[in-house]
Amino acid sequence: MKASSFKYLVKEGATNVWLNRLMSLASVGVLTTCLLLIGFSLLITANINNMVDYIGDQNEVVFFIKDDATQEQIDETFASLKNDERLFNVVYTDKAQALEEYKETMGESAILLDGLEGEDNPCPASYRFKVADLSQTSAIVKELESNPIKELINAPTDVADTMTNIKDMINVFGIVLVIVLAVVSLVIIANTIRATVFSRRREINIMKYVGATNNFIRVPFFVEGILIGAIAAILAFLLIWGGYSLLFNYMTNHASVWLKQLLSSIIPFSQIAWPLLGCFMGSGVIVGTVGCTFSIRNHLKV
Amino acid sequence: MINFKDVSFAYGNGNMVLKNINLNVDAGEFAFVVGSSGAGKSSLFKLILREVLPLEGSVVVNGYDLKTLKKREVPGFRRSIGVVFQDFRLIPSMTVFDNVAFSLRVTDASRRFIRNQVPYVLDLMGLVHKAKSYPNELSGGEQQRVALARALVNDPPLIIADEPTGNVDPELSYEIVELLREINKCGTTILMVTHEHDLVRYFGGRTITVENGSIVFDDYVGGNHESQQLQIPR
Repeated sequence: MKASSFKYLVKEGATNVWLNRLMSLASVGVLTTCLLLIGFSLLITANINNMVDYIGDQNEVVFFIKDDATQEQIDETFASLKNDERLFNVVYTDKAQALEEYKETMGESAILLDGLEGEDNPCPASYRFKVADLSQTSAIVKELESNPIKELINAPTDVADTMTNIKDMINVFGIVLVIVLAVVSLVIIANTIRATVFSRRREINIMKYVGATNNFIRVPFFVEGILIGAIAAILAFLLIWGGYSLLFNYMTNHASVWLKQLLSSIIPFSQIAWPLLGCFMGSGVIVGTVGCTFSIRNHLKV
Repeated sequence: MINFKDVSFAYGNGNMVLKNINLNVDAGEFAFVVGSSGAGKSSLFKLILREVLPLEGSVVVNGYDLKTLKKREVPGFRRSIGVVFQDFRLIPSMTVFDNVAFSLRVTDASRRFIRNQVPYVLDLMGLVHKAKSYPNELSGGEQQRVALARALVNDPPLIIADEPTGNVDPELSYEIVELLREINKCGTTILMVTHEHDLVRYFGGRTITVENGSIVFDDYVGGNHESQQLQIPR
């Protein structure tokens, strides 16, 4: 095919989007709605996941050290905890610091603790750390139970398990929802495109009779598919951007202090804008072109 | 130009539509194919265009043996034929110019050639002033002339017309056939399918009559047209 012919066919495809504007509008509308539904589901799932992670991160494990532990043992365990990739924010608090912190929590009653410094200090030294993957909390605690300097381990294993369960549920729910929406969308889109192509079957038929090759007939439809997909992707992206920002602003302006802290874990739109636009463009264009190519196939058998 | 040898054809339901057809149309001929509805004329037309393949026998058109023709060779073969339909089959979204130019565009013709050839053919059909119009802005007769221009623009050796007068006013029917005869005089072979016996009687010439899937008559008939001044019946 000559470059001039190809240019003509691309122009023809772009013109057809406008000439068949009613059907183009229907295709863009359906595709935009489907992308919006899938996009919002993905965003909601990702954000809930982030929030659950945030709540999970607030729970730390406290390892209380026996009073008779030697400094060497303490340093050794501290080093091994620091080097453990599953843990983060590992902090060592010695007995004196622990007493100070306790006094701070007592406020005016801290006076009762006066004179307990030195050997009479009842507060144990401790390590505090957070677990990167909450689902591993129980296993890590189990490993640490055998440590000889362990007095007591305070770990929110129940919270960790609950959080892990919630995350798993959200992930499964999110994936199922996206799959269901994707399948429903594909069926609707396939039907819309089929209707578009069907309304122009005579045109395709005429082209075949005057000796047009299948590729010559396909290219304009292909271009139409790409354009419709791209327009729908941009529309869906802009709508999600607007909707997400509005919702985010409303929630931050009308939330309690605790909720505001939770909302700080919401993924900012700027962080997901490009990947989202890429996904929308990719899926929009692929659905548009594949849909057109498949729908046109039956009409080419003349 | 067109050669049918012992051709039989049936659709999927098994009913024989054409039985043992032997037909030869030489280059430069003008032939009418007549017959009532369901006689098999349209199937004959579809066989020539290689829309369907014969059950038995061979069909050779413009030197192409259609039974052995590969799928990818079909577009090239169809470009060697100009086709005119009863319902015009113009692309509604294209202007008259683009409808005619489309036949050239599929052959990868240069833009310069298209710019020269299309107005030339439209001029022959008396349609130059309608080049920018869309098919729905034209009368039936004008639409059929656009279809004729589209069939002619490639300068094909063969034009087949399926009931080209079926959707136009009776007086315009004679005009359309007259145009086809003029094209024929320039050396293009024309095969025109029709059920309008008046037209055949008027113009005369080779007439092939199809009945119940068989050719029952194939001979030259004298027309009134040759002996009289052109008086189009109204």
